[in-house]
This record gives sequence, C-alpha cells and structure tokens, in this order.
Amino acid sequence: MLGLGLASGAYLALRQPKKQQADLRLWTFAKPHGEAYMEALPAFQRKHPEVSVDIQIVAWEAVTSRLQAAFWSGLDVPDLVEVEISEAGSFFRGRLESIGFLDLTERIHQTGLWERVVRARFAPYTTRGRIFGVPHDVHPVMLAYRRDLIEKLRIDVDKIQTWDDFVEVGRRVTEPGKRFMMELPTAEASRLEAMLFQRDGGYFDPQGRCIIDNETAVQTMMAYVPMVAGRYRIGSDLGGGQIFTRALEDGYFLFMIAPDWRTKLIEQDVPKVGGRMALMPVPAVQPGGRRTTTWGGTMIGITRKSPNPDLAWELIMHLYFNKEDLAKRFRDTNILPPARDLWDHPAYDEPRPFWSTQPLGRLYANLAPDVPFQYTSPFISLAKAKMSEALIACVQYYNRYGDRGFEGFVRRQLKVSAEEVRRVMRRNPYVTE
Amino acid sequence: MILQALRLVGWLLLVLIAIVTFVPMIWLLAASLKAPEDLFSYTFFSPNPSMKNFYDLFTQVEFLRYVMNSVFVACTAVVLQLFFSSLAGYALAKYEFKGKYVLTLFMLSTMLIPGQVTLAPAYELIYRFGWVDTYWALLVPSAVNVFGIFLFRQAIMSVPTELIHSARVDGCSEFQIYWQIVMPTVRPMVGAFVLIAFMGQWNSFLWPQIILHSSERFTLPIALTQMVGIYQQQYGMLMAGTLLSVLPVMVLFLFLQREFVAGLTSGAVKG
Repeated sequence: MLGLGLASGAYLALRQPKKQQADLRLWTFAKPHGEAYMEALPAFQRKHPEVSVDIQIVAWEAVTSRLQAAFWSGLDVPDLVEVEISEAGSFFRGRLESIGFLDLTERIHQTGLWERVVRARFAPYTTRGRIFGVPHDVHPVMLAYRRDLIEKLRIDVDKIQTWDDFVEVGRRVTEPGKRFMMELPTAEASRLEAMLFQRDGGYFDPQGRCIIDNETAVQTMMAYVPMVAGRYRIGSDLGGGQIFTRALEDGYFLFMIAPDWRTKLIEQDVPKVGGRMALMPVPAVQPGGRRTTTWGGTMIGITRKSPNPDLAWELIMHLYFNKEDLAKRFRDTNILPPARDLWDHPAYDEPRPFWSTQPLGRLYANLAPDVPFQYTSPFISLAKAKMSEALIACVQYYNRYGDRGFEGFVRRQLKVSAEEVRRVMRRNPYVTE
Repeated sequence: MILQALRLVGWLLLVLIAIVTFVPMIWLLAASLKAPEDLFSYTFFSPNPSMKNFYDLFTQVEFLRYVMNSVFVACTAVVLQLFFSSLAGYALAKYEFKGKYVLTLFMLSTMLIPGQVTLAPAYELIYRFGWVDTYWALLVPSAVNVFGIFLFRQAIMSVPTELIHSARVDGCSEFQIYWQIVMPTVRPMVGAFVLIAFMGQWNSFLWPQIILHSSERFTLPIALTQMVGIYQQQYGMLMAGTLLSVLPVMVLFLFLQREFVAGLTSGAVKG
C-alpha cells in the first residue's frame, strides 16, 4: 500500500499541472455547454486579450453542494455559474441582499434582454421581483411519436387537438402489457408538472405563495391520474435507460413528452428508430388553447463575490447571445436559445432525417413564445416532492376505487401537501406567503 | 444418502446465489463491450462486441491520470489512517490516563454527527489553510478515523497485557511494543481495516467533489460522473471506466480475504 502510494505520488509529481489564476471563472454542469463555451472563448479573448477565462465543468450533482459551500463560507466563489432550473430556487433563500448571486434586473432591462428573451423564462430565476439569472434556453415541449406505428394504426395526428381527443384515441389503441399510447410515470411528477404548467398552474404564484392545492392543480391531477391508473389507462412508465430504449424500439410507447433537449437524448439513445420518429404539438386543454408547455432549464448568474461583474456580464452576452455560435450549438444539442431574434438563422429550418425530415428547430421555435411561466421559491424541491407524494396517493386511490369519491380525495390530498409546504415556509422569516 | 442430497441442494443454492450476485458484474462487462448504437438494445452481450469504449477511455479522457490520482489518494490515506488509528486505538486500549473514558465517549459520539453538517465549516477551514483543490484537503482530514480507532481499540484489548509487560521488561521502547508486538498480533484486524478504509477512500465522492476543482486532480468517482451530463451521456465509456475502477478493490479483496474474514470474526467466539 505504501509502495503504491509512493509510486503513484512520484508519477503525479512528474506531471504537475501548471497553476494559473484566471480573471473570470465559470462553472457549468453540462459538458456540451462547457465544450461550446471553450470554442467561443477565442473570439471573446480577441476583444479582451488581457483577460483569462477558466471554464470548469462541474458535475451536475456537485454544482449545488459546491456552490452552497462556497456561498456559506464566502470563499472560492466563481464569477459565473450555470444552475439547473430545479436547483435555482434553493439559492434564493434569505434576505435579498444575502443571496449569493448578483441582482441582474437593471442590466437585463438596460441591455434590452427583457424584450429579446421569451419573458416567461425569467420567472424561474426571479424572487421577490428581482432577477438573478439569465436563461440559457426556452425548452418548449412537443410530443414525440413513432410515426411508422401511428400511420399503421391509422391515427391522424392533425385531428388530435385536445387532451380529450388524445385520450379517446389512446383508449382505442392501448393494449395494457403490450402497447401504451404514452409514456407517463405514476410515481414522479415531471410530466404532471408539464401539464400543470400548460394550464397556467404551478408550484408557486408570482408572489411565492404555494399553489399546489388550487383549482388548476386539482383539475390537472384529475385529468392526469385516469391516464395512468384504472382500467382505462393509456399511459405507463418503465423507467429510463435500456428499458426505455427497448420500449420505444418495440413500440411499447407510441407517444412521449419531448422538450427540445430530450429529442437529442432520444437521437443518442434510440438510434434504431431514426427516420421513424416525428413531433407534434402538445394537445391543448381546451380547443384553441396552448399547444405547448415547458420542462427543464438552465440559468447563468454572476456571483456577488465576483470582482469583475461587468466583464462577467460581457462574457454572458458573448456566450448566450452570439447567433452563429448558438446555431452551431443548436445543431449539437437541439436546444433552442431564449432570444427570439436568434431563431431566424437557417440552422433552425434544417430538416432532420431522424425526425422524418421535420424542421425540428422551426417546430420548437413556433411554440416557444407560448411557453408558460413557472415561478420558483427556495422551497421548490419540497413542493416537487410533495406533489409526487400526492400523485402516488391519488394513483393508488384511483386504482382501488376509480371515479368514486376521487375528486374529494384529490382535493384533500393536495391540501395536505400544500399545508406541509406552507408549514415549512412559515419557518423562513425572509420569504413569506 | 440424505446427507449427500442435502449437501447437493446446499451447493446448488450457493451456485444460484453466486450467479445472482455476479449478474450486475456480467451486465457491466457486457455494457462496456457494446458499441454506442447497441448500448440500450441488448440486455447483455450484443452480437458485435467492441473494445471501442476502452480505447476511447484512454484516448479521449485522461483515464490513467484519474486512476493514478485515486491510487495515490486511497493508498496514502489508508497508510495514514492505519498508522494513526492503530496508535490511538492502542493508547485507548492499553494505557491508563485521566479522562480516558470521557475521551472515548466523545470520540464515539462524533460518529453520530452526519458528515453533511460539518461540510461548510470543514470547507472554510480547508480554504483558510489554502488547501482547496489540493490533495492535502483529502488526506489530512481523513488521517484519523474514529471508526478505525474504535476497531483497533477493541482488537488490541484482546492482546494480553502480560505480553506488553514482558516486552517492556525485555527493554522494548513504547513505540517498539506498539510496532513489533501489538501490530503483528492484531494482523487480521489490520487486513480488515485496510480493506474497509481503502474501499471508503476509493469510492469517496462528496468531499472530493467539493474540494477538487481542476480536472487533472479528479479521482475516479468524480471523473466517471463527468461522463454523465444532462444533455450528453457517454454511457459506454462510463461502463468501461466503472468496470476498471472496481478491479483494484476486487484484487485487494483477493489478497486480503483471509485477514478480512479473520478480522471480522475475531472476538466472535470467546475462548
């Protein structure tokens, strides 16, 4: 053991990395982002030859813990950090002036970003009226489906306008154990959440009040649960990875919720269905209603400790709003940038063979201005956990009793979940209902 | 006849359990040998096995560097832990001094504090020392292990005090007694502790994740996590890397299995 320690120590001593302190340090959790930013850096450094930039790819699970530790101790804080949407709220705890990120509200208005960016995307990074992050994406949602099987089943997707139409078709083609209309989980709320947002519901209202027991949430739960539970369910969930790939290849699922980022994962993980997949807008709740929703997201923020906030802002503008770079990035990731004026690049109109030659970028860009708002809170993780618990309870109830007394049960269950969130929120004197 | 049949059933049962235990390893091996397009399409081996994932692992990322980082951190930490934990365990088992009982209780009570609670103050301390993004931050805090101290205390308590007295009469210094008399006597516990400590260090994730910032210093668990992102997954390389990363622990177990079992069962049967 000692010998191994000495030998490996000698090996490492001979390969000492050079130590350098950069003027700007950026943490990102997404490798494709990091790689794209590295490519974009030379252009930035041509404008600022004296500035050194260090882009560090920090694993997703580590960003929050490392950044929280850095904020708490006020030490070793990077200048810029990308934070995933579900984690962003956890940084907005405490007094506004204690938040580790710089308030970007004025900069966003002064530079015109408020007009350029899809406005709904600022909401998840806003607390008490102040904006602490610039959105990286819009993440509109469509439905991805097995075009070949849908045609074989003589389903006309253009005739599916509402969720009621979708469920009706789903009940016709679903054969439990063999084929389901849609991939929909029963134990976690990500798809329920997307449907909640589509109805202008959510976890919190703009004032940060918990609303997971309001009428919209009740109606969404009542619409979702019969899709995944009971005799006439049309949705099922097998999990991710290998089993999802097999399910999609075998036609076990016909449709699935697909935000722009997920289309790239499907391309990577299920290459065998290439050319046999297609996209359609999400069915509306009411005829003529919104045909999309949103799932996921990332923000970039400047930390309060950064000694170069102006330079950091310039870097954000360079990395997030450079049309050519973003077009290339879109080809690599399928992720639509958040500023509307960037979408007229030809990259967004390119037909994609995997998606039956549909112009993937244009399809998402057409829906992007209509993505719903989602408001956040430092208690977002708790609210999400409680919503998942309520979903599980409602699914169990529906499987056992069906429609009998279901509405009352949903109302009670969501009320219990919401009260739990409110009880914890009351402990925080800085963020009140 | 019945006895033989029962033995056969027992063997068959054991073989069955062994197969079930090995299934994840076989799956891992199969996944590491699959081409990207086959990765999710076959449960186990694909008809077109490929070494591409292993090739990519050593050419696209600095895998050897990560292995060496892990070897250095794990081996050095184990040596330090073994030395300090056994020394402290020996003192608590065989020396009488004021406050010994309270000290033992205090040390044991620290095991009840979840690691996450001390994360922020520990980070600040490390920063003040200027050890962020260095191996000092991994090695120094882990040099003393309360669990190890307690383990050695229990093991050394079974060493006859008369043996220590005799050594003292024969002219051994206190350190010689510890090094030449006590440690060889508790050798099985040394083997067991080395294995447990090595596994702990080798798989350690949260603290190194927070402390190490430069990719050239990453240990294997952190480097492997970098292969799974939100928008891009390199599952094939991840599987190949995971397979290679479990090998050292398996090899160490094969070397130390006799000591490990003896260490764990020592004291189980009182003579």
